[in-house]
Amino acid sequence: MGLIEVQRTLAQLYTNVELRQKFLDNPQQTAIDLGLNPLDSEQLSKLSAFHLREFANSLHYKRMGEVQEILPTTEKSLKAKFNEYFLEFAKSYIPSGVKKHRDDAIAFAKFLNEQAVSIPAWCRELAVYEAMRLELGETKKLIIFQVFQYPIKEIFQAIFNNEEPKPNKKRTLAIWLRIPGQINWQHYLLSVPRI
Amino acid sequence: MNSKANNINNLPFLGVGIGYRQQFTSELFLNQDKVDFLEIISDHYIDASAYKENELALLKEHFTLVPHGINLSLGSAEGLSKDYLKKLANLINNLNPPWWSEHISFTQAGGIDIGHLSPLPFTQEAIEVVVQNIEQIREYITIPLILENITYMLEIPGSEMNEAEFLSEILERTDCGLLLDITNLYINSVNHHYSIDKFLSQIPLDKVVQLHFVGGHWQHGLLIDSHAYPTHKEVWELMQTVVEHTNLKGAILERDENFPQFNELVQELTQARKIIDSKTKKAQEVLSWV
Repeated sequence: MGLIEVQRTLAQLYTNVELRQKFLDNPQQTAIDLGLNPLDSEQLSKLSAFHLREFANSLHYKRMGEVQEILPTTEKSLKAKFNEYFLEFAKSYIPSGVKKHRDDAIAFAKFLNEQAVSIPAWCRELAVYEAMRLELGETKKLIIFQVFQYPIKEIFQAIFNNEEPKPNKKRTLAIWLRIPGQINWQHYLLSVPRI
Repeated sequence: MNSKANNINNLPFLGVGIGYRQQFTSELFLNQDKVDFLEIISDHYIDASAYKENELALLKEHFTLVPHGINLSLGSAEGLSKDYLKKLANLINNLNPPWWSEHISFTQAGGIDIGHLSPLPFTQEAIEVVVQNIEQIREYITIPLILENITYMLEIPGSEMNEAEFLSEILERTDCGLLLDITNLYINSVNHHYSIDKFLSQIPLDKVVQLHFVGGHWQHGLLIDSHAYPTHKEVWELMQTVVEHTNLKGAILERDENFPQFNELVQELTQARKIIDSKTKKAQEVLSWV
């Protein structure tokens, strides 16, 4: 068995939905197309389709679960759509490294903001805001700020009171500040009422 | 193989502890006297933020820490990431724990981070890969390494031996200790229909250093290692059996999700401690008869 090639093939089958389906439709040929020799291809074609799907799904849900934990408010605001969008997002992005879950969450927030056009704009901004907080632990900056179009604080309060947020546009400045040498941030959300 | 690096016979007894998770930090410190040691996930403190560094320093001040790796990819035929290994070595060497642990699995291949522990085929080739990778690790980390058995939903075709034989040869060749995850063992025995007794009779029980225990859940006819439920009755029974036949140095409750009140976790630690202490008591009784 060429273990290097087999592991490379398995890694793709575990993480790539379309390739996995192609493999399940025609295992031996797909394995050959992926660079396996005929013997290894034949052997790998004996993988249980049920167990392969179950394992791949478990990887997906584990990954999504980590991001849900990191972006709890976004998850709460998107409800079932979180899963739908995450599935779409995961097709084109695989995180790596020791901070992969954090990077995944930041990339997902960016994806929501740029590509999830069918969700409300406030919901997309909420994801960006929540992801911005992830940068705080990593940056050497002393000040971070971002302008939002919606009152982030009101949205947060509504979600945590289990109410449906119905925010009107209200320009909001989010600022994080810290004293040099300290790790704790001061945070302010300043909303400007509509005139 | 560098034998100095893995003298598992003289490891200290650490007792019963818990895998540290940020969610229960406050309760952990309130119940410090009920937790003998902590297992920390190495990855959480590699390239760490100042906040995580402070957290680690605080934990170290109050507990014995044992690092637990999840992403070294010991079974990668492509070899280990030198960059990751150096960072891991830096963390472990600075902590200077009695031992540290990793899984017999691969997590990366062809530039893809699979995101979880993936099974190896039970072949001679895979054994050679693990042995070589551990030799490389020992150039950087001489603190004893213990290896954990994983759960696997799917079996990689082409296996030349069973799981117990595969693990045993790796332990034999590397002289590493075994972190026997008894929940994983129970789950694999259920999902792959094998006998736990036969498994235990085939592995070198004298190499068992530490246990993991927790509960999983059923999904689509498979028992899943979700680390999200109280320890199964069968796993407690298995712990009793394993404790009687090993010279155990520690056991860790590995709860990751669906956290209950901390006192429920403490109850599980107490139950594990009772099982482990029962062996000591039995030994004392035998000694008193002599």
